[in-house]
Amino acid sequence: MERSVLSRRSLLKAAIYSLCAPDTISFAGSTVAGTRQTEDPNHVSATPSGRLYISGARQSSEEYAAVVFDEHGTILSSVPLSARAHGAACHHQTNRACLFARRPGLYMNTFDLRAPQTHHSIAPMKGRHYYGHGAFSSTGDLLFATENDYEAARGVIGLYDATRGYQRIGETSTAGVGPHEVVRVPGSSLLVLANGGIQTHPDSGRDKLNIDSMHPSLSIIDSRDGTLVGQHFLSDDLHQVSLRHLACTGDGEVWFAGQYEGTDPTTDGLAGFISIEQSIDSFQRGVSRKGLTLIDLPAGLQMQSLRYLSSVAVAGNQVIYTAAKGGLAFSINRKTRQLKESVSLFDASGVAALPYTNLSANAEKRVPDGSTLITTGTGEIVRLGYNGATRVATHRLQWDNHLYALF
Amino acid sequence: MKHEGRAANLANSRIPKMQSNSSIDELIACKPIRYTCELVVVRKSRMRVYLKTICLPVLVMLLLTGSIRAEAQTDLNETAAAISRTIDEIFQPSHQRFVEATRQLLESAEISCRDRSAQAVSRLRADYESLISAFARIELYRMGPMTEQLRQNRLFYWPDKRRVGERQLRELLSSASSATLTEAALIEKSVALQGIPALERLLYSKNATENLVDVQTSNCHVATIITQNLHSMATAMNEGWTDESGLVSSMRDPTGDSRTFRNHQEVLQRLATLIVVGVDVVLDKKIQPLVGDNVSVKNAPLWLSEQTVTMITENHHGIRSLLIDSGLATDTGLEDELQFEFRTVDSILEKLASLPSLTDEHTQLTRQTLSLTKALSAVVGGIQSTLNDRFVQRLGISAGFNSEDGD
Repeated sequence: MERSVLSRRSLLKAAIYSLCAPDTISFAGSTVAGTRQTEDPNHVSATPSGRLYISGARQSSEEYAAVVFDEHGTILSSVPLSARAHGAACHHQTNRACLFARRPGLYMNTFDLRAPQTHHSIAPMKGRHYYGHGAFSSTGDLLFATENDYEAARGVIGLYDATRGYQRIGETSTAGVGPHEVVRVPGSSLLVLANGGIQTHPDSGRDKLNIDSMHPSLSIIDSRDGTLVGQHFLSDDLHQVSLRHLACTGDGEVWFAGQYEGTDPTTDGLAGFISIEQSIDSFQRGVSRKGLTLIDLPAGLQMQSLRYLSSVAVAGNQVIYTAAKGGLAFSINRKTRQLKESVSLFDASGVAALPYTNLSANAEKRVPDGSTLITTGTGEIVRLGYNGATRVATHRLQWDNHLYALF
Repeated sequence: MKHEGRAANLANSRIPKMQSNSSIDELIACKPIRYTCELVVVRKSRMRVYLKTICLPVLVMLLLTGSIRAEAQTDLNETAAAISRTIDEIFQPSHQRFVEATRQLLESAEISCRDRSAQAVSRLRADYESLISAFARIELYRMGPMTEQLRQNRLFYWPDKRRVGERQLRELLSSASSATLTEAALIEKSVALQGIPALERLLYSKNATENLVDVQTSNCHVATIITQNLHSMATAMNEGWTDESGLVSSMRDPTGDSRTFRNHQEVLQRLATLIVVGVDVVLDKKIQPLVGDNVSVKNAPLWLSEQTVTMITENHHGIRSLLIDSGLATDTGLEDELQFEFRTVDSILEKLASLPSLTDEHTQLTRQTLSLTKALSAVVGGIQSTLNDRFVQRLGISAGFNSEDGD
């Protein structure tokens, strides 16, 4: 079994790598020149090596792409995109991946990792725009995309059939406004949504229309029928902490990252997690916020982050946050819930760790050093391990907000 | 082509503790390697082969290595000199000027509260306008002291589309506690109350003079406390830029174990980001709202005190200093081109400043204003493209991307 998995991985990597064998890479009839050119002074790999990653990137002022690179930072492929991307969804077994346009997003770009040249750009249905994130079902046959029903000012999950060209087959409410990231709880049909609480409308671009009255929440939805099975709201004094990004552990926790939209210089509540089991239980019993835990970040760190957390990832017993505006990344120990380490990293935003499926209960000891990669808007790829931060590669492009591990 | 060699050298500098080759800094620091060719007794033909295949290439390598090392040393010295010039001739004097402006304003505010005369208020307004000029020069230097303690927002909470500051100031002035407000109490309050926008409202809103001279109101006292807060922030920022043991030391002599800058490339990257993001902010947030149909002057910064053009002009000068006076534009071979574009911007801004008002009697932008803002937008847009597409590329870096405009 393991051998076949390894074999499949090797084949997929070879398929992706074959696309960049020449110095120009072709996708759907177009070419992207020079994407193999790396500024990595330390390592230029002749073959793809180890785990693969995907991220959106800006290559010049008007050129955007979905970029795949290996764990040494060597760029293996680059798919041109029509506009700035944001998050991605990947399904390892079916080789499906999708990159979502940044809000108010007008495309999602789906592709088969075995043959990325067949990528498709899908526009949102009338009256909707994408919010930049999505997730696949456990089989990989369905894609869930966060969307804005902007006339009704309500968040929805668009449901797409990946086996039929990502045909839109329905939608369900997110039970909130401004849904941002959605993740699927491992081994289940449960989706967790970060309803950022911020109302936007395409007529107003990226303007935030309801900051005074915003009411963010975390919703747990059963994707089989769209039933809301759990929901948390922050306390009233934290109603301007927009809950935006999520990361699952392998044992029923979902960690979140918030961004403060208000003017109070002392507000916290940027980071925390929910227990899925307790959250569903408390929802059924009508108890508020039981199952939600806020992390007490040091005041100095909150100040330094400018109270804006960009992304979150879980690696074993570490939870890693990036804070692009404050220029730092930091990790929280899941057991002690204390800050473990922080590093100064200018424009750090994307963060990806080993997928939860590879981690055991005693994962911290088994996760190899360098299990977490961080990307920055200045083109850097940095490995965050037990020996601190190490620069892996620097490219002449600007990595966008989020990074995902593919294999 | 000098800049390209420099770019390559800078791109090769790296964080110590990395996994491969030494950085340029380290290479330069280490002693030259001595090569020796042992004389051996060999047959003539073998000697010829030996000379041709081994000694000659070694000699060529030695010459090239020496040349590259010398060039790298020169480039590094130039970069270090440019960074020091930026600190000594741009950051330090501009922050000193800001401190002086806040000191003068504080003095005027205290006199105004003591004298309670229209003449004193006029003097206060004149000093406020000097303060705007000094602040706008440093406003876009968003690194180090500006990013600490939420100072960026506390100094200038803008844009405030929801008019939070206006509402909170009204509430503060109507409360009994406003008459005894202290600086310590102010810094615990909303960031929208702590800086220039709140002060502008106190000095220029309807009936401002009457309220400032009226001993029954707390307007003058609140204005003084805000001014004190501005002075405290300016002083702290100036200290940050003059303390040679902190940020300044790290910029001049970056070291691998520093939490701020580990090499000169990181400093260069930060400076380039200030420039690129600075132009984005001026164009997207301050000029674009004044371009097009049905635009309102109220979307512009400091419209109430009619300091919009002053602010944009000083922002523009601040960016030009960083780009051109520092020598960075010269290093990229773009100085002449950028100088021309900046002179064109100067010329348009001078014309805007010479207009009696940006608006007509109905607070609508005049046709002449619109024509000039449109031209300004086009020229600054050209600068933006030059910086994004060629300036950062020739420096061999990518400027920051996520820190200013995340999601």
